[in-house]
This record gives sequence, structure tokens and C-alpha cells, in this order.
Amino acid sequence: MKPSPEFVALNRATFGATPDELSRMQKMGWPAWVDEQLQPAKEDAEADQRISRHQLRIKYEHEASIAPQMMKPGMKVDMTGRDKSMMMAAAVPAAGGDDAKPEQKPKKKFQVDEKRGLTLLAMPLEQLFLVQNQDEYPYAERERAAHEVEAATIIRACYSKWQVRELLVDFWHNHFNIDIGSDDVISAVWPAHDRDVIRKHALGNFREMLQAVGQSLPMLYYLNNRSSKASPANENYAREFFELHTLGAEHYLNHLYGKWREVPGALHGKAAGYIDQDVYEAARAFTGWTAADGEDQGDGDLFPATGGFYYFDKWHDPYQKRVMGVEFEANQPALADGMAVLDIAAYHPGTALHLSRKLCCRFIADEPSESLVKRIAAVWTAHAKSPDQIVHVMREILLSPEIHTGFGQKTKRPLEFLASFIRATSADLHPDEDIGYELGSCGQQLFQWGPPTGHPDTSAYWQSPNSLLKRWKFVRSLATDDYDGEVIRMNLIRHTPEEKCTWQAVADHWMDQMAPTLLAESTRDELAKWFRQSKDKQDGKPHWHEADADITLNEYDLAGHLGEFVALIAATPEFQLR
Amino acid sequence: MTRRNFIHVCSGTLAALASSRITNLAFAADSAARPDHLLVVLFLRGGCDGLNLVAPANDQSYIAARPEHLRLTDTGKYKGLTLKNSYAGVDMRLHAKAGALLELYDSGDLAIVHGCGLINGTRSHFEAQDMMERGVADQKRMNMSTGWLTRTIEALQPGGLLPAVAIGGETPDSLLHSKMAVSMSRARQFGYGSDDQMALLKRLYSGSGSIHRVGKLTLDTITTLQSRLPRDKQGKVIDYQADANISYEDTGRLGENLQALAQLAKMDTGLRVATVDYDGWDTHEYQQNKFSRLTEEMSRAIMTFYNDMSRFHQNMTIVVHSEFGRRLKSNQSGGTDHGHGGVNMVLGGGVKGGRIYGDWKGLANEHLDHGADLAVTTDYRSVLSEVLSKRMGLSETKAIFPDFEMKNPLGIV
Repeated sequence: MKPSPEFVALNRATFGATPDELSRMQKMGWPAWVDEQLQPAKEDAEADQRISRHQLRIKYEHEASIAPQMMKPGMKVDMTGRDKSMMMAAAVPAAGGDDAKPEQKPKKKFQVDEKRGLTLLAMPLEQLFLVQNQDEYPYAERERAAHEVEAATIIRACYSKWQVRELLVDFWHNHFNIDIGSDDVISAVWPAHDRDVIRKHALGNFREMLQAVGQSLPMLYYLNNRSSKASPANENYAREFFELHTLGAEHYLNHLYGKWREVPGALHGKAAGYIDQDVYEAARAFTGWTAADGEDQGDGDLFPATGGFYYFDKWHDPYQKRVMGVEFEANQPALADGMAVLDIAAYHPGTALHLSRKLCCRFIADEPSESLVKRIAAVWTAHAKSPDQIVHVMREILLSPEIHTGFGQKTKRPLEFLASFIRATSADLHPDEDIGYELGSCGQQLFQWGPPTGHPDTSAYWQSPNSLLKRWKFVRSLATDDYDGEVIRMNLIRHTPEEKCTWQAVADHWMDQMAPTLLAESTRDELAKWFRQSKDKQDGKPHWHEADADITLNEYDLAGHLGEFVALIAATPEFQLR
Repeated sequence: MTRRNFIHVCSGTLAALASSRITNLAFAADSAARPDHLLVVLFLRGGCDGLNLVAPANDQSYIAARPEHLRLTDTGKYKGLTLKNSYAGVDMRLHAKAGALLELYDSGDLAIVHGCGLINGTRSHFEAQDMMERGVADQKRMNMSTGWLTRTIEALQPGGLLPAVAIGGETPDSLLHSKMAVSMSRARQFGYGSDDQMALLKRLYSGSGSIHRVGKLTLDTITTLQSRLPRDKQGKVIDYQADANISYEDTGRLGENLQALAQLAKMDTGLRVATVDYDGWDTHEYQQNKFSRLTEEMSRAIMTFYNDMSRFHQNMTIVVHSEFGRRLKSNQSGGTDHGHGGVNMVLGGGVKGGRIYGDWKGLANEHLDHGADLAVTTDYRSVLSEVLSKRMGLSETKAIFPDFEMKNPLGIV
């Protein structure tokens, strides 16, 4: 049996096609479904409600003179105080009559183990920076903001109505990879980066997104541009900017090192690719692009403490530059050098190809055809200055004939695998930190992938014995109650129709629910045969049920057995693929 | 080295080190390749600054190019450890935190190759890694669909149950599309469900697609490992027991992975090739602290693993390499940018260690690559080819490094 073309398309445009969504899509038609997805409303009923109700545990021990105090939105912080170590003290409601300074009190051990809502997700950048980025704040508190984003990301992958947007958010986070572990301050402001940079532009304009990312504190820290000054500049950001964020390594013409005139088009200011000299020059152009991180640079230079972008002219290399054949005059106005580099790269035809290829690779196949990539790149370029450039590009991808064909050309990433399992089983997931940890052991380090490449996006990476085994074990532990009931409720019996309760009917129901049109007859037979086998209560040995024998769904046994069964469906080769 | 540092580096490994030396004496003459020789490849990802790890303390160009904290000096706070048998007239030193490596070097088991790397001049991490892991040195060859270790393991035609592993995460490109390589974190975690669930999955994964092949390999490996993991009388898997007096404490995540490898090797599953990654070497800013920490952890982890594997010394070679070295001149962020030539290390009982290999021309501008970086004077494939031919018993390495012809072997093994 081959999966139906509609299932294939829907499975690629969501974190997992479900029968309900499949029939909804069939009613409205694929083009209308795509249009709906590409104009997401502000509301996202189920995901919003789950996020607003979500209680995420925080547990740690802390030794300090005063109790670590959690900031709540709306709580006032004394923002005039420059001494960050005082921020925590400032956040503590004044204790009556006790005016002793906190550092003079003897240290005590504080045990924190509580559940809190996701209160940092909506907090403005400046407040996140001041509240979460305190040197004396316990580590668990400092990284709390990033854990909230992680939980919200998993919830949205599973339950958001706006699945295409959620896939794109995941794509852009991966494209502009940042490892939150590379500096504490990145975790501190992560909700703002996710919200105001990635989500804001996920369906927007690439040039705008490129600048927003380049000026976001997490990127400025992660690729070190915040400390880049003349001279020599720090080349880290400039190199990955060309190689990963824009033109891609396929446009790195290293055989022309030092020979810019020989780069095709360069003499006319339209270089076909980049060489190391362009990296050096772009690095010079971005000198002085730093973060308002409150650091004291000496000589009376105190950066503002807002967590935002900051241009520091003293570090900027003002002299003439040449980037990809374009000459820059010396002594341009503030930011002009960097802005010009953003323009050159964002509007370059090589960037259109590189990004189109990556998007096709994510949504269609590990190796998309060149003709498809060129078609998408043409749309990319035609809408290069449209505020909704990426909507146009995504419409072209999702309405391409290729979206319906070639099932199995993609392997689900672990987040896609998890979300597709939750969606297919209608399970009730309340992700805690362990869920993110398990995704990591399956190979997807959500927001914690070290190298700036982001995770590889091809099957050669995801189809490894380690990853595959961890997936099998992960869903098995979810489905068989290894987890705290507060993290996941499978409700398998509740979701099994009662009207036709034979072993075969229950098996069919779950195979249809989780893998509609996906499993070969022989696979269905094998799975159903396993399901009919049940452990004998007396001797613990397997014995066989009659295929048509009625079963009682409220039997305690069946719950565990059904859990094992859905875990096995999720472990089939077919369920790993898109 | 101060007395305090000495204890810091060596405590817990002194006794084991002594025993490893004895082993070396006993078998020093036997350097012939054995049919069960194990090759361990440790990849330092991010571009390890070879000029901060092993460097000519008195080279005037070196001194001029970097602030003291990014150099190895012959005196003061950043004083490096003296390496014997260095290039004539050059005061080559090893990073102060690499005391454990110095012990291995002085014992004669560790060799260093400087100015080693990819002859292609790419300064891109990912191109450089892609090329190195495919065993090539040309962008046009980056589309090769197998890694050099994939081809190595195929050429070896190993008979064992588990000939190749990637420890710690997923499979690196050096084992790309290997039909035999298994990625894993810990052997004891390789288990799944009950016998009937395993049997069902084996039937479902009997197809011919790549996912089926990987699934089948996974299931077979579970069966192999579950039958070999040491168990107590109740059948419970017991924790790994390192050799006497060996502790992996303070060896970090690299030590954890190497410990997992030691456990696997000692289960005698026919292991021939193992890869371990150690990342974090992309030190564009504030290098001094990061580099010291990485170097210390790496050195301790390698030393601990080596001593834990003492019965394998004559039968194992460890190669340590990185995609490139870093720029001679530091930047204004207290770091260094992508460079070219770097340091390779080779460790094993059959290694002619205790000396530095490679053609060292110095760091004067005219000897640098593009006037900026340490030149590559030894192709990384030269080192690997020697190990493959002399230790792994592969007389012909053409299929493994298709564009490479060995001209002047270093004589390192």
C-alpha cells in the first residue's frame, strides 16, 4: 500500500497528519488549506490555552543570604541601579524593618521545588534582560526563560492550529542556529529572541529577518560579533553569515582566494560568490555592532543594559571596504557599512537558491530537484522586497506537485516524531524538562545544537541506530506510563471507540488513526497479530486471543497492552518517515 | 610545572601510568599489525588552535602576533611544558594544562605532528570537516557518499559482531553510509522491550530501504550487547568497572564517552574502528579560559582512557585531529579566527612517540600560508595512511584515500 498523495502532503506540512485534519483538509481542498495556514490568525485556541495553563516544574538548591525570588510580570525592578548583583535584592518585596544589606546576612541553603506558569514568555526584552540576567541568580532561575520557550515550542508543535508556521519557526531557529548554552545571557533573553525575531519574521521578509537576527543579543553573543572591533575584527559572524545564513558554502569560491577580480561579475559589483577577502571585509563592516549588555568597557564607556542591539562607533573600522565587488566609501554614517552587507547578501541570487534549496529540503525531499529549487528561487527573488516574501515562497512550495509525491524522502526529526505521535494518539502532553532532554538524546538538541550549521537536515543523520533506538524507547516510555501522569496522559481507552470492541477492530482503529494509508497489509497483519497476543494472568506466558472475540475496554490490562501497541506502531519504519 | 599542578594532573593515574610503562617495555619491539587492531579517531571539532597547544615559545613572529595569554611562553604565567626531541633549535612547548599528554609523550607512546591538515585552503569548518571525513582534499569531492572510515571498515572485512561504533551521539560523516557502523551513547542503554516485541520489530524492519537496514542493525546490536553485558547473579547488568586504580573522574564528557568506548572494547565484540567527537574548539573570542579548560579535560580524558585500555596498547592506535588550526595573529576579541595547519597526535604502543614530526619552517611571514596561517606541510592523509597500512594491516589505501599518494612517510608508526 502506498500512502495517499493527500496524506503525504499533509504529513509534510504539519507535525504529523491526523485523520481529523486529513478529512478537514479534504473538505476544503488542499489550496484552501494552504491559504488558511499561510495567514495564521492571532488566536491559536488550543495551543494558547495549554500554554497559559502550563505548569513547569523548577527544582534546585541554592545557597545565599536571601531567598531567591522569582520575578513576575508587572513586578517593578529598580532599573536605575547599575550593579546587577543588587537586582535580585531589588526584586524582593521589602521586608519590614530589616534594613540590613543582603550580603551581610549569613548564607542559608534554600530548596526550591515548585511548579510555575510560563510567565516569562510574554515579558519584554528589557525586563527579561534585567530580571533573568543577574549574576547571583541561581543557575536554574537563569535558564528558566529558555526552558519556558522549549516547553511552549513542544506544546505548539503538538497542538497549534498553525502547523506550517510552527514548522517554519523550527526551520528558522535551525537556519539561524544559536546554542543557548554558549552564554547564560542568551537563555535569559531567549523568549524575546523566539518571539520578536524568529516568530515575528517566520512568514515575513528575509532581509528584515536577517537584520533582526544579526542585531539580536543571542546571535551577537553566539557568533561573537558583540566583541568584534577594529582591528583585526572577529570574523566568526561574518563567515557564518555568508556560509550559513545567506549565500551558502556552494557560493564560497575559495579557489579564487585573493583574486577578487576573477570572481565572475565582481568587476560589475555583482560577484557570483564570495571569497575569504569578502569575509574579512564584511567582518570589518560589522565591527561595532554589539549588544546593549550593560558591560563596562572602561574609559567611561558603559553600554546600556537593555539586552538590545547597540552600535558602538569607537570599535567600528571606518575605512573603505570592498564586499563582493561593491566598493564602500570610507567614513560612512553609523551602521551604513553593515546595512550594505545585509543588502548585498539578502538580495543575492545565490541566497535565493540557497534558502530555496534548504526550504525544499525541509518540506519535500533530502535532495530536491534543481528545477523545483529554481522555481522556488524565482518566487523568492520576485518577492525579495515584499513584507510577506516567505508566504509567497511557501505557497509555491506547498502547491508544487512535488509535495504530494515521493513519500519517505524525509526522515522525521525527533520533534516531528514526538509531535506526530502525540497528535496521532490525541495524547495530553504537558512537557517538562525531561521531554526536551529525551529529544536531545534522540539527536535533536532543541536550541542547544553547538555548531552554527544547525542540525543536519537529511536522513543520513537522523537514520542512525542511536537515534532510532532512542525514539522507540522514548515513545514506549510515554505510552506505557513510565512518566509522571502530570507529564503525559495517553487516555488510550477513552479514545478507542466502544461500538466495535474486538481485538482486530481495536488494532485497526489505532493503525488507521496513527498511520492512515501508510502501513502495508503485511505490516498491519504482523502488528494486529502481536496485539491479539496477551500475557496470561496466571503463568505470564503469551497466549492467543481469537481475532473476533469481544474485549472489555476498561480492563486494567488493556491499558498497558494498548500502550505497548501504539508504541510499536510508532516504531514501524513507516512512522519514521515523511 | 608547580608541585600543586603536578598532583592535580596526575593523581589517580600515577599507578596506572607506571603499569603502562612496564607494558611498553615488554612489548616495545612488537609493532606488527594485528588482525584485531583497534583504531580510535578523536575529532576536535571547531578548529583546535594548534599554536596554543604546541608552539615555539621563542619564535619572534609568534611573540609579535599574539598577546601573552594566547601564547605558550618559556617563563611566567603562560609557561608551556618543554617537549623533548623537538625540531632542531626550536623551543617547542606543550600547553601547561596538557601535563597528562606530556607524560604520554615522554613515555614514548605519543607522537605529535605539527603543520598537519587539509591541503585544500578552505577556512570553512563544514567544508573542511566534510572533506576530511570523506578522506579527500577537494571541494569537488565533497559529494562522495562514504566516509574514509566507512571505506576502511569495508576494506578490513571484519568478522566481528560490532566492527565500528560512533560513541556519544549520531554517526559522523567519516562513517557516512556505513552498513556496519553503530552509533551509541552507552552499551547498557542498548536494549528494547520484550523478546516478542524485538521479534516483531525484526520482522517489520526486514525490508530493503535504508531505514530498514538501520533498524535491523540496531536490533542485531541490541541482541549482541544484551548477551555480553556483564551481569550479577540476579542477571542485572553491573556498572562498568575500569581497570584497577583508574578513575574517569574529572574527565568531563569526553571522558564519559571514552569510558563507554573502553567498556565496549572490553566486551570483545570485534571492534576495529571507533569515533569520538570533542567539540567547542571554535575559540573566536576569550580563548584563554576556554582553551585551557578544553585542553586540560582532553588531556586527562585521553590519559585515563589510555591507561584503562592498557591490555590493548599493542593493539590500538588513537589519532587526534581537527579540521584546521587557527590564525597566527589573534583578533581584538581575545580570540583567533580560522586558520590552516594544525596539530595531529597519534598515540599507541606501536607509535614511535616522544618526538614531533613534520616539516617546521617557522612562523615568519614568508613561510605562512597566504601570509596569515601556519602552512600545511603534512597532509592529514599521510598520517592516517601510515596508521592504516602499518597498524591496521591495510597494504593498499588507494580505495580509502582515492586522490592521495603517499610520498614521504613520516615513519610515525
